[in-house]
Amino acid sequence: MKTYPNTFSENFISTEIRTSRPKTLTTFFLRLGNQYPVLRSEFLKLIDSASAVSSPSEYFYDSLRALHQGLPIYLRLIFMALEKLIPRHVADVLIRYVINNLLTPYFLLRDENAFKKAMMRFQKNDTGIILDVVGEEALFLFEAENFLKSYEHAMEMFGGKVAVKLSSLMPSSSFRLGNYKENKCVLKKKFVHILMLAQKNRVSVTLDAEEYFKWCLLIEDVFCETLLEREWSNIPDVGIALQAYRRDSFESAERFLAVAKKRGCPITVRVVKGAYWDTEKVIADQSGWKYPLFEKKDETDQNFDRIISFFLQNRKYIHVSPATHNPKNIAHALKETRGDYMNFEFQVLYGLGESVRRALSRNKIPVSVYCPLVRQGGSATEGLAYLVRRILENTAGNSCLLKNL
Amino acid sequence: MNNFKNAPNTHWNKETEIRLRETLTTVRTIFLNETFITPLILGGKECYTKEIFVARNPSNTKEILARVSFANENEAHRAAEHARTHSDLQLWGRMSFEERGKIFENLAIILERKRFFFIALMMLEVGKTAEECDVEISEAIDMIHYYSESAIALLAYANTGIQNPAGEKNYIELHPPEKVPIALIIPPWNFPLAIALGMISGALISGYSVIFKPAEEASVVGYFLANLFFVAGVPRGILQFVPGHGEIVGRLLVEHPLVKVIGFTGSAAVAREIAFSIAKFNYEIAPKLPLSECSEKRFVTKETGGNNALIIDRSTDIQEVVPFIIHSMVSGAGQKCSALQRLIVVDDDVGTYARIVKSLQRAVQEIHVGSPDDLGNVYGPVISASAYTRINNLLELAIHVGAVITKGSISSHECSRGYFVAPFLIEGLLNEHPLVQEEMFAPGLFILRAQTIEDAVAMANNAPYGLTGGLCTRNETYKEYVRKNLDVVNYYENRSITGAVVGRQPFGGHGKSSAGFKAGGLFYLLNFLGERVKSINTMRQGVPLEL
Repeated sequence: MKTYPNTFSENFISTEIRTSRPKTLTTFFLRLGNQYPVLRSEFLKLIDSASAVSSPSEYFYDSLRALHQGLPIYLRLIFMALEKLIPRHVADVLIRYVINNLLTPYFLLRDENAFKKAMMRFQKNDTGIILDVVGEEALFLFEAENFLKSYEHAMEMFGGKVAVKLSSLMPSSSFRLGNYKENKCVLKKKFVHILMLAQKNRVSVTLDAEEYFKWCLLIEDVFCETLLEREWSNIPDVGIALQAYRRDSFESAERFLAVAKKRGCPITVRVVKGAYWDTEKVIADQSGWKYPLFEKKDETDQNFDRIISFFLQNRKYIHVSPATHNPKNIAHALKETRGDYMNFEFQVLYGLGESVRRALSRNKIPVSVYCPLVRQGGSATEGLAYLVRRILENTAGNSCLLKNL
Repeated sequence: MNNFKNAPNTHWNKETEIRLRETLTTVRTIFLNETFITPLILGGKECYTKEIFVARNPSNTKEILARVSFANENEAHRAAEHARTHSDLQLWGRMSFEERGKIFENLAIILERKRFFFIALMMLEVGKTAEECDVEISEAIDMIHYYSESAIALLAYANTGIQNPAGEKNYIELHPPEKVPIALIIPPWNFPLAIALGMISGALISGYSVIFKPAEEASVVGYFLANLFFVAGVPRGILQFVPGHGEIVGRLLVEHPLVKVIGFTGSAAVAREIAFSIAKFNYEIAPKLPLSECSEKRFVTKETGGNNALIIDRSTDIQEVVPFIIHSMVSGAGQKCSALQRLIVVDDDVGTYARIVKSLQRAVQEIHVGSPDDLGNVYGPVISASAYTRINNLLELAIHVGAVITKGSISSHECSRGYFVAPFLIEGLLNEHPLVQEEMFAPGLFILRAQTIEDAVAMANNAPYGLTGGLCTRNETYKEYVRKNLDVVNYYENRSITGAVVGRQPFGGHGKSSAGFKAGGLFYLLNFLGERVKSINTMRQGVPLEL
């Protein structure tokens, strides 16, 4: 095992993380899903339909019976026993309870009170917070406007860092992929609006990662072009997420650096690995397009390290926040900082990253938590896509998180 | 069919947008302008007539794209004569599927190279949006590849069923069954490239000589398409390009004694007339013809309308389902036989119906309608003045019988220039109402209410046609029930009910709307081909000489 000159080696971090692991029912489910992929897809289907179907237990058991072959005997017995012992309507209530009160809160903050509580807790531990208003694409104009209001509200309520999903501000009803120039104009206006709100409320804004084919490059263009405009060339508190699983992410990294140099004012970049792996794969497969992401997890990890090193060599221009739970990547980033944490922080996900967060803050390394907040008045299914993405991510066989759970 | 891969659509981005705009300008100025006249192509030679049809842009009727030389009776006769007498027919008939396949491989490559040209051309002539044109070109390319491969696969498969005992060699060949194989292909204007190309290449690969009569509204696309075949290396004598009025040239060619095989996609009324004249010909005229020409006429493929239903219930995610509904309803301005006409809501819960209708009403208000030149528009104009009046009359009639209509909006500037119809929703009519039963062919939707899933399926089935249909739900029991009981030939679950892809969702066929094997499917060529069996005795002097 290679050891780093730095005190924070990979082994050290792994141990640190392991000693601070939480034990919950959710982690148990995640482990189970990781072990048996058939079970994982059943869990996901169940979560997807629990809110919509009148008796989720009925068809959960039905589909489980169909895949008994793939499961070990003890699980089969448990499921059979559950099915025999618990009446259907009780099972329905139970399933809904588990999803709504155990599973969802583990990943998501369901209202502002929960958010405020979490905020108090994290602030005690010197942990920063990034507020993310959960939402996917807006279908209609009024929804896009509601999203804008939610962002405004979030900025007023909370004066820290806010993550913004630019795609939720443009209704898909008026979005045509071919209309690039027009789309860019519209999004630029939205972005400028967000920047104005951010300035008013003294909030820093980071643009969130998006799907590749539809949004990704468009949003990078919007970001770079707007920041080079004179009005916005000297605001420091603005950033963008960069997905290291993209094959072309290093070019984007270079582009961000060039923009920062040109405007003479630093940019924040949150480097993530990317959460749309499965979606992009399907889109690329169905359309016959070249797959834009690294196929192997290792490649993504290496690329992640490469980008972090690149940004840390240019700290004057880029404030980098590695968003990862992987001890290897964390150790690499720590080595590259050379003990200087100026304008540098790790970012972890709410719930899932708790053990990593504890380990880092115990060692006085700056860390922030990315807190997804379900907005008020949003639809019941709004957190669903986020939830599903996280579960997929963390039940995938190569998930580093599971090893540490 | 393992080698087949669908052609990728364009990934729209910065560069492709610029390229498309440049191509549009080029096509407008160089290829299409008022002085440009497209000729007929008879016996491999271009010729012009006195009869001129003016091709206009349906998004802007003041814009004349080109003038089209239209055939009259005389040219129609000449086309049939050329098809029979040209020496290329013999040559073509003797080629193997592999040899013809090579030419079509070439055709696919050329078409891919000219993708943007054809996108621009179709945007201007039939008013489809760039994205739709792009998908159509991929479909056309797919058909070429798929059909030339399936010819070889079918032949091989037919021979796997043949037994060869010692002393005997048997094999099957696939050929057109007619003595003088001449096919008349009449495609529609709503897919001027993909359907036309699919039908023509189906006939050509099978060994027919083809007379191509394009839809009036798509004659210019037709001309460039015919040229494409020649550039790719199809012998000039086996494809006749005969644009003209359907009632004159179309009718004459359908009735022409030399034309043996008719492929048609279009309206049900015309299909019925063609069927009648085929029957009349076979009964009255065919027996009196000289022996060499006496074979009967037949319909090879017939695709007509649809009156398609989508069933949704309360377990669907409205956010997810509304885009499916809107796409099924308005893509191509609703002028597709696969378009959604009836949305059936299973209202087994208070408020499901109201929730869905409210969402759709909002959606309809936000659909941008206008010239495809503006790439932000969701759909373009309807094809002609008569379509425009027909739809407006329908709406008036619906109001008259007490229906509730929600209409989207169009800018008055666009309205004054072309045939634009705002998207609309019609509520309050029963499934049995004649307006609901008739195919609408418009960017609109009837919303119907059913009490149970059984009712919903019964309603969906209770209509003419039976082409596409679908279900959006998370309820597994419903899924099973509808899959079994919905009477359609293309069923879609939890997606939009239009947009079939070659090799993935073979389209049409064997339903109430159509006759023949599915387009874009393995068996499509069997519409054209007949089997011939050869049996050879290999015994000589009591010894089998061939192993």
